Amino acid sequence: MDQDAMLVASVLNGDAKAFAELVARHQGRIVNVIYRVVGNRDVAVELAQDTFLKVYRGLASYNRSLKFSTWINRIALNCAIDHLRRVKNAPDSSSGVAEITNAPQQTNLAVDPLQDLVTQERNRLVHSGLQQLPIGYRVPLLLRFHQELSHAEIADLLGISVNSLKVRIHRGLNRLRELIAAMEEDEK
Amino acid sequence: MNCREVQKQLTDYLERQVTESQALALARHLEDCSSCAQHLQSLRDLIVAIHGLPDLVVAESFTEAVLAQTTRVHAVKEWAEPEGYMPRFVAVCAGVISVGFLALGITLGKTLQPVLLWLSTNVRISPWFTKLLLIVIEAVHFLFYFSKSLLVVFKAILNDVWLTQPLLLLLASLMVGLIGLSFYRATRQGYLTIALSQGLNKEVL
Repeated sequence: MDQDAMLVASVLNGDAKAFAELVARHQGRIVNVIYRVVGNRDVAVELAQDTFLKVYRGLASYNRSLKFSTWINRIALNCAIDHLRRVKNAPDSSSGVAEITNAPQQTNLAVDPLQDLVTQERNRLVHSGLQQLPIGYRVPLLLRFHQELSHAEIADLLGISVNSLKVRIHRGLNRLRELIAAMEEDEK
Repeated sequence: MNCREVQKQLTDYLERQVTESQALALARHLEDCSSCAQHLQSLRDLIVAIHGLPDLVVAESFTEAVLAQTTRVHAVKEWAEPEGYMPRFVAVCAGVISVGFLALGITLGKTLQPVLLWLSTNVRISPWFTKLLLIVIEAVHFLFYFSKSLLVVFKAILNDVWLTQPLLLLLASLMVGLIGLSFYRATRQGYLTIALSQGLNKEVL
């Protein structure tokens, strides 16, 4: 039995500390997955909390044959996608989806300042480009290259075939490349 | 292989999703075609850039905030209708079946026991027949206790989503205990009834 499975069993036996440990183990990844999908830090934290609340509520009916990380990832992605749909359908759609935030950067004195600026600029463009990509391309790219999940895991998570996933990754990557090139051109 | 075909396969190439012969053909083309080589490099840079996007640092208060919400959910759950440990429909059906068994057990038990007692004292019948009847009665008896225990379990399921495993274990032990007791009584009662019907003195037993 893996660590997550043991913690889930403990939570179901009434051990509140076990749930705190489950949250601590997954919070970083979940917050970041959601952040990269919705593009807003505060919203990401809020949705991550909702995710863990849903996990807590659904733990009794959680299907143990499914890996816990896959299950929680699926809940997190559903939360993020539902949020994007809500925001899209809301009368004022200026907040949330289109918001492009700079990823937090810490000043690293060991890194060459010019190199640091180039990296920050690159991150800003990639983040911005990802936010402009359709969700059907954005999520596979993030799960594959940022979260480093395998093709099989992502396909399972998104409920699509591996071949379909590969097509999305290919198209998403090329679309992102074009978007970034266009943004660089505009900023010149 | 032309540039269009090559560019279609570049992502798969980077992802190591091509066969050896495809990889060789692509590599050969990339050596001669600077445009495709540049395309490949830009995709590779992009993958590295996505991978290198900095992670948000989650505040230490995050876990506490989640736990505070779960505590609130748990408190509300005690007052609100539970979501159910198993599908509500299944639990209700099982409950109805249990009640049916219970009613059947009581009715059969109440009818058969006096008949048997009357038979054992007034009619000379084979001890084996008496024993068989006792087994029937004890089967009914068992169903009675079994249904009763099931009822307790389903009541718990219907009322408390946080039915814990120790509680289930306790109920299961109780059920096994009751079954054991029921069989002990069956043996003892059967022995006594048969002995009495054979005209033996109760004190001697």
